[in-house]
Amino acid sequence: MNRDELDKDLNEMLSNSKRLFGDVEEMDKDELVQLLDDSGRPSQAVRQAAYLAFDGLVRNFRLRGQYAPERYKDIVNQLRPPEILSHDPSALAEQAKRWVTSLLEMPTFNEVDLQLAFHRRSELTDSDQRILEETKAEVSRRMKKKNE
Amino acid sequence: MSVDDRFRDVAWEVILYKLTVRARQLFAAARAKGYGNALARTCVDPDDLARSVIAEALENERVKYKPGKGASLSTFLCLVLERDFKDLLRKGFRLNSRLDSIDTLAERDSDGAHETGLVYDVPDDGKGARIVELRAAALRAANGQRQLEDYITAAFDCGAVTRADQAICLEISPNDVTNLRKKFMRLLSPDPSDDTEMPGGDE
Repeated sequence: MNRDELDKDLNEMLSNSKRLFGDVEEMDKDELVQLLDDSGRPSQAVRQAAYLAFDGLVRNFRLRGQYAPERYKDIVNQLRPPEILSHDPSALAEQAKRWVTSLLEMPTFNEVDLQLAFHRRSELTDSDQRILEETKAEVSRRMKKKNE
Repeated sequence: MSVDDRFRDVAWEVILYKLTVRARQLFAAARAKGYGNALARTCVDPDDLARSVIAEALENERVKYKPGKGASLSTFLCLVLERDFKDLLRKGFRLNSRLDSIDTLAERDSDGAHETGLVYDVPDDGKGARIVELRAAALRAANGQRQLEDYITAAFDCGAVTRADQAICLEISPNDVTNLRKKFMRLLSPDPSDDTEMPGGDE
């Protein structure tokens, strides 16, 4: 396989992988966490490993007698696990602010999937089915409205 | 604009997760296509690759990303990740050529235990190798399960790429589409402790 053929094959693989596994750009945080937890090291471990790596970079700056740039401090503060508290008062305040925000956040119901629980489901008539569909749509609408 | 200004108010956690998921997708796809050897020779983990992309972006003062113009930061970094991944695979192919030139007479121990993720006896220089299409590898991994086969048909043959399109095409909920995707990730990136056969290998 020459270089051009290899490039073509690799490009095709990139686009096909997006088709098969989904585009990460359209995924929200919950879906990303689900996929990570299901396909190798869980999200918490990924976050912890990244925190250690970037914290190491910040330490290297300090060892060289330099201040770490703001962007490094920002990523370390965002990835810092809750059990590790920062020595920097401003980072501590930022961490506390994030905790409170996440506690106050309402759970979101983007996709409502109602589960029906009753006996003799096989004996449903067409009108029963229609009533159930309408009720399902109504409940979904109300939950969505409440969530807004 | 300074680099610090470019990366102000970025949600790094979500970006890290996006890049890690994309890197795992690429590694799973490459292994399924029979590029497992080339990947293994580079000794790089998908999670490490994702982290290195962020580290490079933070380190490089001349990073070309401009917020407010064109793609978002995560799209930009995903493109960088894809380019780095292609470079990584090419490096893996080059390493193989170098090993061949050092010792062409060495015999490979074919009786040894097969390591998961490696594809044995398929030369990846193209001579005598077959290109395994990702669609074919996915169909093989589906192993006759109707729902998974329908998903492949929707994704590859009906042009349904987004989650919403795939859900409409298959007449299932978007959450079920996510579950099918998770299933394919599991099937094509098996647990290293599991000794089952990988698609595309053992010819």
